[in-house]
Amino acid sequence: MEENNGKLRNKIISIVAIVFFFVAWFIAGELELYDTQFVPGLGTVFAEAWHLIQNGVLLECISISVFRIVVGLSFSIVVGIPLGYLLGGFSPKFAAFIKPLLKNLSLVNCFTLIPVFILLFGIGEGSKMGIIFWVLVFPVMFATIQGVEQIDPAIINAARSMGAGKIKIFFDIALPAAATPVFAGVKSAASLGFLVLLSAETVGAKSGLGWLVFNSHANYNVPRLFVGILAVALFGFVFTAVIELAQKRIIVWKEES
Amino acid sequence: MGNVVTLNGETAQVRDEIVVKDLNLFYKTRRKKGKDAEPHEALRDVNLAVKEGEFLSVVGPSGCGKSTLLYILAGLNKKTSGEVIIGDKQVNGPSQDRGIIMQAYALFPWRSIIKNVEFGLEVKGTPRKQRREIAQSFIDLVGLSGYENKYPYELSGGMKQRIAIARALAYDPDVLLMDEPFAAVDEQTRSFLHEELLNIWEKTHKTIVFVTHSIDEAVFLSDRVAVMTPGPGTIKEIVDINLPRPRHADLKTTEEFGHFRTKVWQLLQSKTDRAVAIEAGNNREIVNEPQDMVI
Repeated sequence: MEENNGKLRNKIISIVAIVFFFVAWFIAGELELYDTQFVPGLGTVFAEAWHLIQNGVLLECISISVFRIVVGLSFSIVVGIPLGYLLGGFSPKFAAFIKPLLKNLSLVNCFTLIPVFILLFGIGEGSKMGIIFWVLVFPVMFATIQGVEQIDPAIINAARSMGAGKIKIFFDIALPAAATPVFAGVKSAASLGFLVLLSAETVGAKSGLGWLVFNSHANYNVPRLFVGILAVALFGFVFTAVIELAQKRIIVWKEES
Repeated sequence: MGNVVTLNGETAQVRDEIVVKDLNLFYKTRRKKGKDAEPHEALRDVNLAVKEGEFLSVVGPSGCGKSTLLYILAGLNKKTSGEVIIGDKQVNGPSQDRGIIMQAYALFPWRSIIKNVEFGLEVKGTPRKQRREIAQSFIDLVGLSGYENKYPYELSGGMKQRIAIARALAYDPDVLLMDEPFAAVDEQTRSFLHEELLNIWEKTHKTIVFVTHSIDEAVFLSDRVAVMTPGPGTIKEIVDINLPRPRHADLKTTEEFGHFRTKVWQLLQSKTDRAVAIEAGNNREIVNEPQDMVI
């Protein structure tokens, strides 16, 4: 109970800090306590946000960004996890051979690849999801390889000793045994993907939150710029929360050292 | 075949559940550059017969190959030559006629306690409802009723080992192979688990091979104690432990117990063996054959 009280208290304190920040911003803006030309007051920002909600621009930007990252991340999970199991579980020798190449490929700065993907897939959705997939598939795959390699041999032996065959061992032992590191990989991929998404949307895009921010900047629409910044922050917060919730739902146990 | 004198004074035939004949095991060792890899002899000419329903312990210093011998019995480790027969069948791999219990418990952390115990039954193809009932009865047997829906991380070391025992018993193997199962629990818990294990053994009539480095533990639990010496691992002698059953912890303070303990201790202490043990423990780099990942 005391532990719970402590957690609750910490939560309340952090919420109070956030509320205090926004209230201070609002009041300072309304009273023009600073030059609101470059940083508009919160009231102005909210008014602009309401305008963008009413004309549907904000919702459209958010939904297209969500669509891109969800598709990109899903593809990288669907490809990265099986590939990680193949390399980590079936053929450790081949994994040792191919890993340096994959490591180097993953180190190619993704921003330099944006033009390449535009050349390959055009300026449409393909290039954006392609770049997100390319950047995210590596952390997912490496985390999976590591997770598979770290499975306690005693646990595999226990399953084998009870007569479990390869299929049962794969689905009932290897999949859950590597779940924690795999999820860690997906989580870091997701936050990385968020960065890549926004920068991809600033180059040759006509929609999305990244486009909203940079287009506002280009048109010197400062309140709209701030709506974009706040929307990105909120989007990132919700996105992480959803992944953490999924993790809590799937991994109900605790690993022991 | 061994003979057992029953209460009426008649002799009854008891068949051998486990037979090990001329078992040898060589490991590859890694040497420095320029030198050839010499095979390391881990087990030499091991011969052993364990009777049905018998409790046999294997004691020996670290590195004598006692755990390796147990893993060969389990079918989890390869052998170089010789024969291992369990029941009437040659051992070629793991099978549900044997259950293994390891020092590190090896429970599946993502499964609840009852799902852990059900694992072997799932492999066996037992229907769900029956599986639940059987698993429940073995959880009750090891005295952990009420913990069915907990996860392994919520249990103490001693509890986890009891669940590991329940898990190995649930699919009804003929033989239990135990690899230093109580080495990681505290002294009081261990003493309690000893009596508990003897209780379970008397109820289930399993044949048990129990590997340990503790002489006390081996003498207290066993019908016979096989003493192993290292470099290469061989069975030096098998000591009959003629102590009455059922046994309780206070047996450890008796003179007869002391007699058997001294006997096993002396077998382990002879000077030449000690020198070999130290050599084996310190100077050899044994490369365990990596078990192929079975995924």
